[in-house]
This record gives sequence, C-alpha cells and structure tokens, in this order.
Amino acid sequence: MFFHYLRYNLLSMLRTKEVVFWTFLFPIALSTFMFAAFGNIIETTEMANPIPVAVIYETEVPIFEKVVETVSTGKDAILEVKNLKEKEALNALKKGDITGIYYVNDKISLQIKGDELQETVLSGFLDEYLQRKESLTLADMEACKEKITSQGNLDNLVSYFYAILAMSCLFASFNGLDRIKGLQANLSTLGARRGVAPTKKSVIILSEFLAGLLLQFAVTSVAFLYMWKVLGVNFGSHVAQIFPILLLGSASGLSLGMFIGALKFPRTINGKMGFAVSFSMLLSVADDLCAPNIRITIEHYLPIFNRINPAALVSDAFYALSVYDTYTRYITNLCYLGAITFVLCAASYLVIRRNRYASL
Amino acid sequence: MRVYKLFLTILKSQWGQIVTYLCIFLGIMALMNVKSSESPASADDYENYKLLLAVSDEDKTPESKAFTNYLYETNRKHDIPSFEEDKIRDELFFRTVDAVVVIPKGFTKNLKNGNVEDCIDTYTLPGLMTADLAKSRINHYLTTAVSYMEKGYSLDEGLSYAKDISEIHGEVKMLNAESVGHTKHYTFFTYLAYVMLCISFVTGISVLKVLNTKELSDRMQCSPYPFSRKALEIFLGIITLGVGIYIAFAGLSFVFFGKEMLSLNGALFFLNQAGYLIMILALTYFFGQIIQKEALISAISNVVGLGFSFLGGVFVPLEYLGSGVLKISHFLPSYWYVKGCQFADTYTSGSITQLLHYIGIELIFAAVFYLAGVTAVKMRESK
Repeated sequence: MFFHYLRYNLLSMLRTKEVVFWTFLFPIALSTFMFAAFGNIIETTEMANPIPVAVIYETEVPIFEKVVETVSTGKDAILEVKNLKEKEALNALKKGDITGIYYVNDKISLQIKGDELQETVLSGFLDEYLQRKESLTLADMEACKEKITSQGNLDNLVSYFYAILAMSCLFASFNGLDRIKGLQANLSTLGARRGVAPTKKSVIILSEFLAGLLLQFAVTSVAFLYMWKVLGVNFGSHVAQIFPILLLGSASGLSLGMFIGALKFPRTINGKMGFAVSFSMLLSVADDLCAPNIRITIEHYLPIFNRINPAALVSDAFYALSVYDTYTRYITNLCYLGAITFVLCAASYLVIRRNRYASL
Repeated sequence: MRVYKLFLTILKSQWGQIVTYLCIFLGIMALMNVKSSESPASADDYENYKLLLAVSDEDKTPESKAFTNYLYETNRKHDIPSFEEDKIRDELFFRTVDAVVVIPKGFTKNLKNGNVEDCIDTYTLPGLMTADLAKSRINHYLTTAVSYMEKGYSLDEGLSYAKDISEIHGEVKMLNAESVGHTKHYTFFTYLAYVMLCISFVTGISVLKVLNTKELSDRMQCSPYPFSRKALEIFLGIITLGVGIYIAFAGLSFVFFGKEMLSLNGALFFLNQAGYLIMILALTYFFGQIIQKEALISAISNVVGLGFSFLGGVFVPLEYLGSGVLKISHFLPSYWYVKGCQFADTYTSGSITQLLHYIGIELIFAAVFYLAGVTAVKMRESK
C-alpha cells in the first residue's frame, strides 16, 4: 500500500505544472539571467587586472617613463599602456576603452572619466610617484603580513546562486501544501475520501512526504547541476557534500509547506498558497536573493533569525563548504535544517491527526 | 461599450496584484535610495575611493594610535563585531569591509628597531584591487616613516613626516562637466521597466484571457456586436490600462522627486517611459491572445520581466554586462529603454534625436508585438 501511494503521489505531482514550473524552471531561468548579467562584474569592478591607460608625453621625463614601464610589465603589472595620440586617447577614454590618460609635462596630471576603484588605482599610482619623489623613498618594504592564506571562491555574487537554490528548496513548500491539501477533508474531495479510507494516516503522510522529497530533491539537484556544469558557477571543490544540503533544504521546505497546510488559518487553499508564497519569498529575501548583505546584516543584529531561516541555513552551508577548510559550520547548518524539518513535520502531524469535521 | 465595461470590471478584480507589484517597487526604491544616497560626483570634486577598514590596535602605544588615526583619516572606519578569523572572513566575503588591519603587540618596538617587514597583520581578499590598495597605502606610509628614521629622525617625527608626505596628491581632471554615476531619477525610471511590465502583464493578460475564453468568445460572436467594435473596445481597454499605469508612476515620480521632475530631463524621462509603455501594452496584447491558462500568466510575467530586466541593463548597469550579453541585449526593448534613460539622465542641451532614435526602436518592437497579436487573433478566429 505504501509503494502504491508513493507511485501515485509522484505521478500526480509531476502533472501539477505550476509546481514543476516554480520549483524547476523558474530557478533555472533566474540563475541563467543572473549569470548573464553578473558574470562579468567581479572581473570588471574588483579584480586587480592591469588597467588600460594612455600616456601623453609633452615633455620627456625619463624617470616617470621608467616607472611606467616597470609597473606595466610582469605578472603584477598594474597598468596596460596603450600607444595612442592625444585625440585618439580622448576618444578611447570617452568610449571606455581606456580608464585614464596621464599627461606628462612640467607637472604630471591624470584625466579620468569616473571615480571607481580603477580610477583610484590610477590616481594612487600618480600620488605615490609624486610622494616618493618628495621623500626620496625608492622602494617599499612589505609591512603587511597577509593572514588569509586560503579563501575559496572570492566572488560574493555566488551567494545569489546559493540564494536561488535555497529559494528552490523553499518552493518545495508549494508541493508540501499540495500534499497536505490531499489529506485534509475540508480542503479537497480527495482529502474527504482519504479521511474515510481504512489506510493508516501515518502511511499516507509518510508516502506523501517521501514522494515530495524525492521529486523536490531531484528537481533541485538538476537545477544545481545546471548551474555548476552548464553555467559554470564556482561551487568550490566539495561537490559531493552539496547534495546533503539540497536534500535537507528540500525536506525543510516541504515540511514548511505541510505545516502551513495543516494550520487552521488561512482557511482556504488559495489563502494558504498566498501565505506560502509570501513567507518563502520573505525568507529568500532575508537570504540575499534580491539585494546583497541582508543576511550578514541580520547576522549582526538578530543572528537567531538566520538559525531558524531554512534559506539562510542552506546558503550558509554552501558558503561554509566553499570558504572554510573544516566541516564544523557546514555540519552545524545541516543539523539546524534537520531539526527544523523534524519540528515542522511533528507539528503538522499533531495538528492534522484525528481531525473531526462537523460538516463538509 | 459593453466589452469595454467588462474589460474594466475584470481589471478591477486584479487590484490586489497591482498593489503587490507597487509594494515590490517601493521596496526596491527604498533599498536603492539607501544605496544611492550619496549624490554622484561632479567634475570638480574628484575624490579617491576610500576603503572600508576595520583596525584593531593591540599595541596601544602613541605610535600605533597615530598609525590607526592615519588609517582612519585616509579611509573609512568600519566596526566589525569580532576580530576572530572566521568572522573576518565573513565580513570580507560579503564586502562589508575591504580590509582588516591588526596592529600586533610589539609593533612600535619593531619599527623603532627598523624592522618594517611583516610588522602588521592584514586580512584581505587576495587578487582584488581593494587588497592591493590597502597594502600599498600601509607599506608606503610605514616605509616612508622608517626611511626618515634612517635619516636620523625619531619614529614619532618619521610618522608625522610620512603623514605629511601622504597628503601630496597629483592633479586629477574629470573628462567633462557631466556628473559620473547615475542619479536617483535614473534608478527610479530604469526600475519602472520591470514593474510596469509585471503590472501590465498580470492585469492585462488576465483580462484578455477571460475575454478570449471559448464560451464568452462564442457568445460574442453570435451576438449582433461586430468584431471590429469588440476589437476597438478591447484596444480602448488596453489604452485605459496604459494611461492608468503611466499616470500612477508619473505621479509617483513627483511624490519621490517633487519639482525636480518639472525639468527638461524630467520631460525626457516621461517621453521615454511613454515609448516603453506602448511596447509593454503591445506585448501584453500579444501574450493575452496566446495564453490560455491562469497559471501561465504569473510564470510568463516573471520570466519575461526578469529576463528583460537582467539582460537589458535594468537590474545590472549596462557597463557591467559582458560583450556577449550586450549583443543579445540589443534585441531586447528594455536595452533601448535603458539607453533612453541614460540619455535623459545626462542630457544638458542640444539635439534629442538620439533619444527619439531609442524611442523609435521601442515603437518598432511595439508594432511587431501588436501585429503578432493580431495574427494570433486572426488564426484563432479562422479556426
């Protein structure tokens, strides 16, 4: 009987197109758009690559020439000097092909277009040249001892992809709600028929939960594989350890949906679905889905919220795997996810068992 | 005007959806307002990017305090909850801080002995410009201080000279008088591209779907109501929806920016908004003819809305998009709308032909979508 229920639950879920779209196609579409839009940002705005510039010599200043040559060669080069005449250089600056123009005459000046990090590096180089000339300091010593030796993935935009996978896990709540709808006599005719069937409620609930979990885990895993293999998102080197996160994340999302379905309020299935959508989105937004740094801000001021938000736990487990050398934080997050799933499932069972209806 | 009245009645029932998207838009604006609260720099006030630094002084000597003061004067101070390595990693990863500097015990003693090498502990993300900038500023400052010590000055004097030297700056000129970065008006109008599309889709398509249901459509066909009149009233309904959206958001722009919108730039923003809204209405009409199921409306509006926004430069500025994505963007109306917003944002004087060119492309998209919608209607009617 258990396997009969499992099979038919799986079939009915696959035929619910809305659930398939929101849990499968939507995360894939969203991750594709985000990847296309964000793919270039860290390279453009943050990485210390040589910055394209032009140098216009109106007077010969051999020392500056030598310094420019030094900082534009080798693997640590900070400048990439383009051989351009003044007019060409100005056009290139306007078009954004170069970031700045150094004018060398009796005094050296810099012309730029924006005021971002790259422009700061260029003006910093000019300042340093003038300061060294003044103080007669030729070379700097390495005063800084870098304490971070292994960092994993530096690109914080990867947290958007963690958030999408976390959202996909939470969208399992739609499925969970759909499952519970089929169990409650006041929500569906199927629930009414099942209410008078001789099969034990525990068998039905377990089969519903397992079927939902199987489907959701498969769907989220495919979304993850798509991001990892097709889009090439860097999830670090511990890929096998990602699947337990997806499994427990899906389980917590599913149990959240079942719990919402079991609640007395909202009364109608549409009301419950609206509540599930809003609540999942709220948790996802708190997990940096729409804007960066919300999760870390919550961590500063209300850390307990991040411990009970399944989306934040899923993302944090991904982050811990990617950045840390030990598994302590990763395992802690999995334990929290497991505990949330257990508590929500137990609460749902207690609410819906032995329900009596005065009239249907 | 029965069809038109029916259109408005169904439209009223979508009020909840409109409020939801309005709240989303206001939420985005609240977030963006915080982010862009600093007004963009102008040509006359170039200033170096100031790094976000967190400093822990474990040495607690006058020299280490002087060094800390120097760091905070030339960068921005940022307090972090803890200087444990794990916490620092989190802060660095989420970019709440650019670099963390720990001045260890014995720092002053080392400097007095001329030992500059590795006298400061830094936590940065290697390979990033912020990391290089932070280390370069520290190395240069301390090396200069020690070089003065080697010339016979005390450490105190050396640090003081190093600070004076660090205040020497080269001349930096901005390319032109235009401000750099984007104004809040630009942010407001670019995000409208997403929210106007979603509102138009979830309301307009829902109405058209009802009007196109087989039963209702069959009843209308066997009634004496001519097809052309029905089409005209639907068209009027869509225009009403568009005018409503336009007035609502134009009004909201006055709420946000007040009289600032009564300028030439404001007029150009409104003109561009009108062009894009016409395209959205045509697209709504097209999808309204082909979508049969309620569940698909939300799916389509999210996918098309997010796709246009991410790939067209709404959510991520065009200058950050890769060249491959930019090529695709040219085939999206949102790209031309954003280009129009950029023009309106930076316009000072002269011809507005460029903007008209962008709006023209938006209208060509509108014509294509409208014709596709009409074709879909004809195909359905002929069945």
